[in-house]
Amino acid sequence: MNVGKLAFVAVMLVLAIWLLLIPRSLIGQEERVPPPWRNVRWWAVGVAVAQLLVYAVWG
Amino acid sequence: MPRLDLHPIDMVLILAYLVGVAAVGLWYSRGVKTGKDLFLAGRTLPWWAVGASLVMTDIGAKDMVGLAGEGYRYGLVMTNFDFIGCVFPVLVAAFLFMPYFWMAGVYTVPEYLGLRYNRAVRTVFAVVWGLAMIGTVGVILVSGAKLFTGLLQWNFWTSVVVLAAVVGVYTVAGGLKAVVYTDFVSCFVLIGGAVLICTRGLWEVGGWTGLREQVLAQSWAADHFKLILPADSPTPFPWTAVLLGLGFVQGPGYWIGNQAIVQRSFGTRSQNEARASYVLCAAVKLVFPFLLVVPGLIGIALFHRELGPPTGKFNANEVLPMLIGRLLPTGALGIVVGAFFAGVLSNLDSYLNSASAVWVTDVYRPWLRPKADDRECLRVGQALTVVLLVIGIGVSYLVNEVFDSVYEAFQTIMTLFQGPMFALLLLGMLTRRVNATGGTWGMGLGISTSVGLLLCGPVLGEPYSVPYLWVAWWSFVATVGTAWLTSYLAPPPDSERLRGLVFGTKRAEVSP
Repeated sequence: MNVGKLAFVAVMLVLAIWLLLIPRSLIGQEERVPPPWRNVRWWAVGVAVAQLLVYAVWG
Repeated sequence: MPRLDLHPIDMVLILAYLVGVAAVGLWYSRGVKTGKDLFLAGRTLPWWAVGASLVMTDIGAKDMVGLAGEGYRYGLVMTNFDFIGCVFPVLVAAFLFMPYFWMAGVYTVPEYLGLRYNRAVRTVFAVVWGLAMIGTVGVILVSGAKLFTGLLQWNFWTSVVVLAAVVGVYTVAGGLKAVVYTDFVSCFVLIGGAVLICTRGLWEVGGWTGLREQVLAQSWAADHFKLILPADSPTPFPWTAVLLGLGFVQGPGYWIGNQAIVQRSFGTRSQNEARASYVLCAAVKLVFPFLLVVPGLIGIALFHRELGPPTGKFNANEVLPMLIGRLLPTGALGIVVGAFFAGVLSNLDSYLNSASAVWVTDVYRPWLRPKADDRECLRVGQALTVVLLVIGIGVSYLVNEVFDSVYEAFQTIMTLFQGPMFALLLLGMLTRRVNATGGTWGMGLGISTSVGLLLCGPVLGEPYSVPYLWVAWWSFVATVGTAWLTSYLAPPPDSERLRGLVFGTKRAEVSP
């Protein structure tokens, strides 16, 4: 894997991890966590991982 | 550019689309009674409509025509404008920045900067954005008019006036709500048109494998299937510039600091819906880049003899119209021309409404009529939309004369201040130490850096020209450094003043 590809994949990986770990209080979910299919956090993680795969495969 | 002879079926489809959009726009213009209705749709917009509108505000005819041309010139590396330049910053914006805009209860991005720094920063960025958005209206009008001139043999100025008239009707009357719902309709038309071009094109060249073989057979297109180019690439898009300039500065500056983009999220019913609209936009943007850039590669396979290598007199704007002329049958042509209309109209209405919002909220109200009520702002905003449209028509003359590539014109305009503005937003939301003094100095030196670097080429000669992604990066760095250092010349801002504006401080959410 070349350096450029590694850098792009790393950026998307960090983003996905950050989205997973961001505190619930910062995204308005401190009182009630919606089910996964209605949870914006999980959809965002899915998009970030898909983008990571695009760079990993075609980068 | 090949002329397209529209069949009556095509004409009916185009007319149906235009009437439909105008009807949707006028339907949603009912109940617009205040400035808040005009600029924020009364904070009643659902996430799915805003998500589609975000996509359509970003992608217009300029992208369809421009990216197909740049795809021919540079290949798949251009998809990065929607990948690292969009998906990454949109997700960051949704979860990090957007809540603080929402808590501040503002109408515009400069208004936030005014709350966080001072009136000078707010006004300078409002005027700069206001002017840039008028320039953008000119660019959009040119891209649309060139398309219709080339394809349908319409007169250039007739095309400009028709586009302005159609979009003016519902944008003036309906404001953001009409803009967002017409964008939602247009999104499906645009996607349908782009899918048609790609599928027909791939069929014609023998699928993806055939496309690869025919493109890579051209010696000048050896890197066209690479998303990431080496750091020493002779193109303006080595991976270092794409990551630093586009991914870390220009993309975030556009998606976090662009009034036309952010204003949509202010119009949603809650913070969570605003966040959902951003995530929907990012999801759609995973697919869109291929639909916009692959036509450029198909263009290489089909027209490399006529167009030749992308040097000298190569005209990037010709690629897509040539493809349409060659590939699309009766009926399908109407859908694609409708898609172009969709792209032009949705871009145009978004920038018009947002330019009006900035001029009224950040210039008219604070400087000219501090006691203006919401009804007065509505009247002024509607009148201003007409005035800005007329000025935009005038600007389109300049854009048409000066720039070869419409896409280049758009990027150049945005480069001037996206880096500095994003730097101040970043520092303003993430640090408590940076104050008004730092904001003012950072803004001044940042914009000076952009202007200076952009002038290197025209003044010193082509060898000294600086690619715009590097301009964005260095103006960002200059702003961050200057704002941070000069903040120590004055005391830190009052912590009560920062409440709800800076990361880690809380204020009650503004009720819809």
